[in-house]
Amino acid sequence: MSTENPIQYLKLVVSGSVNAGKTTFIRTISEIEPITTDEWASEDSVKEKKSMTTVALDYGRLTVDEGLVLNIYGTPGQKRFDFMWEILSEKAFGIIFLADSTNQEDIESTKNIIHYFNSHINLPYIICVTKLDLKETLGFEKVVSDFIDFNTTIIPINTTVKEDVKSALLTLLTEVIQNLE
Amino acid sequence: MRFERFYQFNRISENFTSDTFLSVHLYPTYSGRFDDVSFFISKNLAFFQKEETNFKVAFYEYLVSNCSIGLSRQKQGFDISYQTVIDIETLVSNTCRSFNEFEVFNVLGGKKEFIIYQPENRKSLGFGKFRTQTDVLIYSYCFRTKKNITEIIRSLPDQDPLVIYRSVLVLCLLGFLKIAEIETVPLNGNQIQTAPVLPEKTQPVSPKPAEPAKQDSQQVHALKRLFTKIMSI
Repeated sequence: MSTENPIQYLKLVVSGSVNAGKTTFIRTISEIEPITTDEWASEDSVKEKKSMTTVALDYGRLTVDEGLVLNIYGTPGQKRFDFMWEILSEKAFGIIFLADSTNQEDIESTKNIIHYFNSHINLPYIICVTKLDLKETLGFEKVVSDFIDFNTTIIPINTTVKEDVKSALLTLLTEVIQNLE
Repeated sequence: MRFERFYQFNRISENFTSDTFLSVHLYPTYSGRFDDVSFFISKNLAFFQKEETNFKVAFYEYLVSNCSIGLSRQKQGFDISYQTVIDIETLVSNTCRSFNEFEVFNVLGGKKEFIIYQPENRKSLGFGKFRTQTDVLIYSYCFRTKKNITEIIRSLPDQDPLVIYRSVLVLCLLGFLKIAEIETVPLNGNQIQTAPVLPEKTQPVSPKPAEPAKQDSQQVHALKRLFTKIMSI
């Protein structure tokens, strides 16, 4: 290992309720195939949504230049893994919360996650509303109204679309940079 | 009696996962948590070498994704699920303080098992199995030489990365809190560090004054570079 060309790392956290699209978000922007810790879901409430679920973290990366790398960490969605939320957020520059627009229960779950982060970790964040293209969606405006009290930027994205994911990242970066300057 | 109980755990876990590389079984005796998981290890040796790593996350990820965790949370029956992952932290934070708290037994007999002890009273906390002879050899070498894991890995250039990866993870378990000897790189840092060594009581502690303005400036510069990168992809 050399000390001559140190690499600086930036850390981004992607969080949100189960099945909100966190792993997909990371896969869309990561330059490597994300390293995931998907396992068979054990909770009935999770099984209803998907068979596999993140149990520890997802990891993706984006090399900015030879001296800078973005590490992207996705958190597990279930409350019982909340200890990982805090761990993964350490030294992060910001958080992107994904809110599944197709399910009111998931919206409430996402709100609880954001409350948890706000009470334990003071980091800049934005909220991205996902799955607006699905017929079950409650609609962007409805979801925005649910999150309005958080007084943060809320944008619609499709986590499978690279431009949307880029837009989310740029939005968060803009806010973080403005706060720091 | 104690061992019967462990074996019982093991049988159960094997029923649940056919591809269990390493089974670790803990009693929910303690509480505890990671204090720092800012690093990551890939399932790829090259990446591992680039990143360097704190093995905690690797250990954690490995346990969660590759191990069946058997734990008796209830008086009757066993709860084999990932609801038990938090108890893995028990192992990390409260038990495996050094190689000395592990005891490998039956290696030569082919069973390749090890047992984990609670340091205070040598109470057994669990046991596991090695899958491959390579795992055993690397572990034995590491144990015998007291070398740090990074050195061991680098000394095995011809190994299949996945074999080494798995071996590293075994070492993570077995040598977990030899972490003070493992080189790590802080995620937001720019220099190589080793795990901090607590100062002697008689030594004056003189922490460096924080330079928040400079740190912010560096952070902003890095974020702007990231912004530009994202714009360009």
